[in-house]
Amino acid sequence: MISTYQSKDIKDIIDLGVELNPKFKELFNINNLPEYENIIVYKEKNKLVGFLHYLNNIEYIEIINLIVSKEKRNNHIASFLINNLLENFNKKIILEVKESNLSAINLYKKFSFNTINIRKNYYGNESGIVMERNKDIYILGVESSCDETSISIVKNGNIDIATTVLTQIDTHVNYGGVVPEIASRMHTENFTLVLEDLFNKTALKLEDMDAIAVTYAPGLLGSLLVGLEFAKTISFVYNKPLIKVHHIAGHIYSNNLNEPMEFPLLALIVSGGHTELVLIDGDYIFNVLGSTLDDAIGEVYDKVAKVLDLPYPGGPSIEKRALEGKDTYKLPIVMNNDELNFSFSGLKSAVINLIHNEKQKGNIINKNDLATSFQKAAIDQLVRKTRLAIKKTNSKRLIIAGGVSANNFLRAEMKKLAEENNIKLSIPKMKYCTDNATMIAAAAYPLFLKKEFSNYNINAESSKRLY
Amino acid sequence: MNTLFISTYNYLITIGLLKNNKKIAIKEIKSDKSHSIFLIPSIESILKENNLDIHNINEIIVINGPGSFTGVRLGVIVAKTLAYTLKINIKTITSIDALAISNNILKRKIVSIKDNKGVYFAIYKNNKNISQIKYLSKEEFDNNYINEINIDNGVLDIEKIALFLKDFDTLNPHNVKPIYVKEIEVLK
Repeated sequence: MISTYQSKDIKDIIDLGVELNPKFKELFNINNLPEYENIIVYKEKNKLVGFLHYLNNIEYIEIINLIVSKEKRNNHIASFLINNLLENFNKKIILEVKESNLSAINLYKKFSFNTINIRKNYYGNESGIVMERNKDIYILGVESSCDETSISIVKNGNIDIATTVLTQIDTHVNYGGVVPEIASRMHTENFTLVLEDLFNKTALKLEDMDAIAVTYAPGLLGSLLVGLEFAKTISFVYNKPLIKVHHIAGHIYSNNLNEPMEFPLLALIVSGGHTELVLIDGDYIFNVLGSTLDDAIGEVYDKVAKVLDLPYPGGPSIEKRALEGKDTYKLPIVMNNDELNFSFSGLKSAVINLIHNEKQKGNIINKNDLATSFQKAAIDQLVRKTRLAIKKTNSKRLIIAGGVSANNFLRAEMKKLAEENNIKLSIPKMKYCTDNATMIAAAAYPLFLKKEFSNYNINAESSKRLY
Repeated sequence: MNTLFISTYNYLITIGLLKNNKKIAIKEIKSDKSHSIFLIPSIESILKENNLDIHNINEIIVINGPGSFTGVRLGVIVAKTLAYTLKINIKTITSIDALAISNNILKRKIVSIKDNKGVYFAIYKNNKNISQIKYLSKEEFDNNYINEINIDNGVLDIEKIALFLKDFDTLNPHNVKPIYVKEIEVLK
């Protein structure tokens, strides 16, 4: 059981302290602690077996003593005590430990403490290691670039604490696509409700956030503006820095929610507006290797779905039909060259012509089969170009990002490609493939560390490029 | 009681501060099509200039349209988010009502707001709206109402507006939404 010490515990604390450090009683005035010092104790059957003595500064906590009785070592008691401290304070923590105390050093490392200084011969012939653990960073993400109203809390750039996504798809499906004016109206009506829903999922409060991140580009201008003003207002009321995030950076950084990305890496960006191969050398360091010369992959899915009379959005519609079909229609292999650029308009035209010709001949189109053949041809181009980019850049890591990464056929083909080339692959979890604020908060984290904050006079931009 | 007044329905951003329904400051910013650049900075600066903090505000009054769709949305999302997060009162008034009240209309008059294609308007008498707010093309409006006395000066009197709203109930911020009036193509 963990509790804050009481005066009746003082004798046991001193006894345990002296057991490990004969000078304990002289060094620490446990009988008369100043009010900024405190001790949490761990008891088993009312017997004190460990304690954590700390100093609470305005800016940080300093662990002065962390002691567990010899016979109770390896029972995670020290971990319980540290965890209790972390639960009660989200602050920087510092401490100092003897260099020979490897088990303690390893324990602190597990709790994300880093060595920041070595005090040479601090203990006579032994040095002291000064370790530090930064406070946890909570970022509130806001996303409304299209037809999803979403707010999320992400810890340290890679842990999804809570997310709410309100999709408007059921409304827009009636119009065969997203109607920008309706999307803006719904965002305006729903943002405070989404905020309330989010904070019903966590004990955290808006006051606990370290920054407010918001998608400012690209997307539907009216929709972006509503989210941007909402985020600015929250940032203003709670006096938290505002971080503007590019929507595509969000898709890329959704991979950090799997495990933190290691650079350099090759990224295949596939969405309704993007089809690119990008070499990423570090946080926000992008080198575009190739991009589409005409339609984006998501766009061509939507257009082909339309000519096949399949419901909006086209991606899931075609994918579903393709599961039922066979690859029977002959479609051209486009961009079969040594370039890293993409092109999909030729494939789209081939599908349209094929439908037209079959109709003229009086043949009925097998939609499932045509969906299969189209998907195979389209994804094959992505795979071929990615394979080429891996070879050309000698990449060891590959990530996929963007809405189309939700396509299961693409996911499976990319897994094969990664195995074939023996490289590490990261694809965002399904729930992070479609638009969400989790990825926006994740993408804001490296900007937070660099203190790249925005003023309240920033504007939304519908077609700004990331790179 | 400190009231923050927000109007964004046209090319102007109007931010006002009232103390017990008496005007203490007003700011008008011309912001052609980029309300987002000026809205929060204007609120921030008017508060600062009057030695107030946003946490000293007890009530929000926002014009919730009709007018520029995007303009109105920005005013409304800021107003409702302020009210929700600060847990303070929020009241809305239409742009047409706000103009009518500012002008103290006793005899029958038309109050109107033009946009680039048409006119939002309503008919007032004894300071009461005796019609609904409608939107007509410029031609239709002129054909039907050319002989009526038309108030279209756009001047807001925030004290009169605050006084008019004094006994109105505060709204649930979640339920505050813009009034558009003009239909959009896809919804016709």
